[in-house]
Amino acid sequence: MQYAKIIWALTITAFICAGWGFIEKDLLPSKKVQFIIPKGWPIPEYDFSKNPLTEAGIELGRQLFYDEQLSKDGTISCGSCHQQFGAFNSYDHPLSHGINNQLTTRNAPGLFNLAWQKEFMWDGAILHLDQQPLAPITAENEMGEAIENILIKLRNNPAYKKMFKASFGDEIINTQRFGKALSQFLLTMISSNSKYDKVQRGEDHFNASEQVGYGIFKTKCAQCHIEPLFTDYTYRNNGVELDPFLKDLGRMAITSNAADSLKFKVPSLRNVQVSFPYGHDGRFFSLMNVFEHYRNNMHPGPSTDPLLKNKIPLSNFEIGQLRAFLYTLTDSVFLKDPKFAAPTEVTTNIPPLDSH
Amino acid sequence: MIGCFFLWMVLCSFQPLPLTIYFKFYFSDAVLNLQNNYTTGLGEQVTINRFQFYISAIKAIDEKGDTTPLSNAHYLIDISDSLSHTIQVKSTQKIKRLVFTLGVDSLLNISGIQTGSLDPAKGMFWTWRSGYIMAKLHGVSPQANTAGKRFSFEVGGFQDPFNAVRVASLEIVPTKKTIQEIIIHTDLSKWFGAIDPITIAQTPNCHQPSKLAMQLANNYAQSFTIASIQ
Repeated sequence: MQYAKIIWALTITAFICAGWGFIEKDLLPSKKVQFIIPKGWPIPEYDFSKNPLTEAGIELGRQLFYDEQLSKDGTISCGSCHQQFGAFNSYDHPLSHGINNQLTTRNAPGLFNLAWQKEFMWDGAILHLDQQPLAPITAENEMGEAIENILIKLRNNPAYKKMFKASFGDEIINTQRFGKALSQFLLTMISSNSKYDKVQRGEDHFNASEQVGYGIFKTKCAQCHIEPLFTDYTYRNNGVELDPFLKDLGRMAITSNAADSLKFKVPSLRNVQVSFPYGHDGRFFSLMNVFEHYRNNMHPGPSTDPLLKNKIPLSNFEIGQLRAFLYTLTDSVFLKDPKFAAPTEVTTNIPPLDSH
Repeated sequence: MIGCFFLWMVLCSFQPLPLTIYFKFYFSDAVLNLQNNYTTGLGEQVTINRFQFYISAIKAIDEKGDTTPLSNAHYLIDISDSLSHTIQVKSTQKIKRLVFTLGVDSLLNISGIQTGSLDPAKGMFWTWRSGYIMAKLHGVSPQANTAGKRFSFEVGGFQDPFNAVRVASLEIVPTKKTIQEIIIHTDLSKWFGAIDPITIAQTPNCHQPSKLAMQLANNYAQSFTIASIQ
């Protein structure tokens, strides 16, 4: 009798264990990732309820971000023009490069804190983060590829099938999931560990120059470059002249309103030390060029921002102090975080180029 | 048990039959053929290569003026894909007007990436700026001063002042029985001058929300007439 009971118990346990074994690891939903808002920062614009972050989704996004298959000829990935050491801008390139030796018409901006951004591109052409990657991917002078072709390439790749299944529950690969996965990776790129941030958190102190620079910043720059994101995401004409070759009218191309002529999005100043050259077309080679623009070289026009009607008076001393403060916005943790680097395990099925 | 099954069968048989809407394509009075040459009201010669448009929010208005939604889906009608010419929605009685939106709901232009007929891979989403192409008409014309004599009308925009979404409201002679089939004639000649005169010589391309896009949208909104009901 006693034995019978034990045998029963063992049998039931064995069945439970066997059942447990059938639940394969990759059938379990991928581990959820909590999006943490840095202390004192505003509520993000991105609606995470429509695209909850998971470990698998973020990793899939990273694979896609660094996959050159997304371009027509397999030479350019998102990461080609958005380089981590330049805060994901196109480091040291006024205009970013496209396939077939082409140049684009604008400076690739740094990518960070995108969860707080509502509109994308220098002119606000794109109105949702998930939609944003489709622009450079399909542009003839950037990655030049058709969305349908990318989906075919991904569907033919067993590694991607697996990753889409881990991220979204099944192997279906469509444009929506492609965009959501890229967003998941992009949303995790938070830059909030600069010296400035540490000072705000009470973990560090500004030196004398940085402190003076912070004061100058607050009186002369902070109206547009609002803390803690260091931009207000508005479009403003800061007195730039129309480039006769690019003929880029900025926001006006989107609104068809003359009042928006030469208006471009206010860029964040975070990581400004490593994101040169500056301006929508990379026309400012250095921070000194930018300071010179604001104090001397501006060309005020009818749509120039009223805050800049009298330019920005800056002495050489002030420029030095301001620069010291701006350098405290460099987030070396972000710039070197291996989470954002190119994956070591590459899923691409393109054979490597013979590199001599 | 068997009783329950029969009851279920009987209940199922009471489900209303769907309403099938067929789109047929014409250029003025001639059945549209993609290889043929047609003359617009302003005397220009055109051959159509591609014609696609979205319809959504299909509704019926009855004699009392009450509105019944028939479908909330978005349909991409593509002249080159005959399957897309037929759509099935739920039916209702005493329809006096059939109303549908030409274009894509504004919120869906900016709410991430959509699937199905709204998947950007369908080629009807502007990737350079957020927003759907509500209707697309491509072709060639000897009057086009462009490479390959091509003209290309891509009408989009969902924000004022260049909102290209239009509504078609088609009158139906009410019948006693529930309508099961509606054939809609779509006359592409309307693009070139139902309301605003459009000449390919002057404006062979439309690729952004603009005054031209508004004029084209005003025109093609007049393309639809009820040919027959059953």
